[in-house]
Amino acid sequence: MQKGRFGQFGGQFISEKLMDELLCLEAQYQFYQSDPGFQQELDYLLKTYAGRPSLLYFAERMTKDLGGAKIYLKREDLNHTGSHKINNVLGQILLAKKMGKKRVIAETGAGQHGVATATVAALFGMECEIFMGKVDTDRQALNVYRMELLGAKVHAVTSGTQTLKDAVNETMREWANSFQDTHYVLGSVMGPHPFPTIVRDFQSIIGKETRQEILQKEGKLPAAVLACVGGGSNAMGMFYAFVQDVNVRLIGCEAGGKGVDTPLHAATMARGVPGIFHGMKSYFCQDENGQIAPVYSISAGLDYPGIGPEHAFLRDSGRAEYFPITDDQAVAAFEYLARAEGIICAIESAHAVAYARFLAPQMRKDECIVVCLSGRGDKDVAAIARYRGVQIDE
Amino acid sequence: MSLQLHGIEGFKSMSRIQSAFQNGKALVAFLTVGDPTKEATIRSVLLMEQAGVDLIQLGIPFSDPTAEETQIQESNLRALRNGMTVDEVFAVIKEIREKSNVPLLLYSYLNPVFHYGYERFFSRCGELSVDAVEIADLPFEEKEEVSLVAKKNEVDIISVIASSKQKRIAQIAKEATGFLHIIPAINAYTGIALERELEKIMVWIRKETKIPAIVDLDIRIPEQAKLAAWVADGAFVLCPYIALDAWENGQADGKILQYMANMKNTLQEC
Repeated sequence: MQKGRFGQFGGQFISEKLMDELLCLEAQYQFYQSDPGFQQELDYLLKTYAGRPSLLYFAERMTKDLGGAKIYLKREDLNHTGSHKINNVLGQILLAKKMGKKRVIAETGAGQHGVATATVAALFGMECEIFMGKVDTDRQALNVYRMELLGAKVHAVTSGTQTLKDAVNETMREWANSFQDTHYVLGSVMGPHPFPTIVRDFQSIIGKETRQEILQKEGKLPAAVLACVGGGSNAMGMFYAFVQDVNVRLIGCEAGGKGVDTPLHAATMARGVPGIFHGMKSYFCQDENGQIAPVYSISAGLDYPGIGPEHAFLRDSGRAEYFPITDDQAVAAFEYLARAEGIICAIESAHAVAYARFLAPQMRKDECIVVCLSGRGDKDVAAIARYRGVQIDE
Repeated sequence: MSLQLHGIEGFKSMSRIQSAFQNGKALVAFLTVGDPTKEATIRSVLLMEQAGVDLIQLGIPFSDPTAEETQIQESNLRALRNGMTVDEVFAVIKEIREKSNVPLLLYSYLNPVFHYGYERFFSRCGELSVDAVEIADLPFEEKEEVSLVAKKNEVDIISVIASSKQKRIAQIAKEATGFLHIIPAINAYTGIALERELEKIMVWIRKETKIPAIVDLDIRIPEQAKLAAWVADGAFVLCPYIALDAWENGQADGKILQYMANMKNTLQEC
């Protein structure tokens, strides 16, 4: 297999302008990945700062209500900054610091990755600039202010569709002009090699912990693990520890928006075709001429026209399955989890909860499944209120 | 003369790309096909040739040109809104080729080419005498993606030099075809440091290859083109965007002729 490839997917399809830096990043990552000192420092931060290990919670009321498989929730929403994003950011910023960088930049969709990056930049005393689509700065205004409180400068991106894809475009442009002192903290398992591998490795702690915890609690592996997918970082982090366990179904839940038969969705697996964009060969929503299609989702974090290359590989090889979840289903699951378990999860994570509501009742009671709750939902409360026609001031 | 001699001796005659570097320091100009219209693109190419531009790079519009600044993205999006597709770009080239033999190369992101089909794309390039193709997101590591099919259709793939490391520059230069497109990290150098860096890059390139090299310095005024011509074999410039109304009221021709002629004159002085 070629370097940085997952089957035919992945690669380094990026401007030559960034290659010196990507090769340097790859070499530095290889070095620190096997450096016990680096791992110790990272473990310490994950434990004392991020609050790991995160809980594996048995959702008893939900399980009873659905009447099938036992449902466990992996509580990434309880991490510091409120999502799984901190796992990757702590790793990458520690790496950036070792590489002698003084400044970090990042794209963000829902703002969770931006908040995590701004947080860790503050912790490490580094300059931080975040690029966020104008549409997303409007619908996730709370997170914009959080990032500013943390000392980051937030750029509202007005090019293209003004969402996550365009935030990535702008961050790549900025990086090409500043990599001498700046690291791009890419937020998902996407982009050119080595990012999909780096981000997956830093997120794989989710699955590693889950596998240990479920074996302790149930004495066996789950029948399925579920996670939402945009770029796919929490899903890849959850799946990776289970890839070799062929009896564990790996299920990704993507943004079906208004429905995959309408133009308003971000369902890359259901409706995308192979292509090359943002540094990688993978599946993308695009038109018949290879132009990247505008996508839509109620969830700013899943509103992306592509998916990480390792997911493309897992899907094509039959190892993982991906299902689209509509806005309506996600919002219903968001409300359901709040009432059933007293947990307000991120609208992104609610896509995985929605599929669990469908799947669990079809399963036996002696089986169990794990749903990755990738983030908490405080940021979404105002948007969900609007969705239900309730006007509230944030 | 040399053309004939090569022919008689059985060598491949001088390619159009080689001939573009026979007229002093070369002026290479870029424009996005279909912005503001198809007709304007054809007219611009003919005007640029008349003004002394040696090699014209035609950009296939792409929704998300991440290697370029947003100004180029806007140009791409205008062209896409005008219905520009890869087939339409080839139609434009066909019309140009009926009127001009100016050296032409295409610039694209990989996805539109991938979608069109590599074989179909490069054979069409061959048929229409497109001399070379530069792909924005195809670094040395990934060049096998298209190198065989391009070679089969006798289309050069243009390599970009953006590294500051001798090892990488040598690696790329050694296998380069057509000409080399140098894009230095201009933000990293100020004043004389940039000139020194470019001179160093040229020394490293010349150890590996004799093919010409041009420098892309985000040139907006003729003065900036001097540095490119001083250190290398030519300069890369963007054709200035001319709005639709200037085309309609007849001001466009003069603007393009004057802009490009000034650039070429400056290069001739070097």
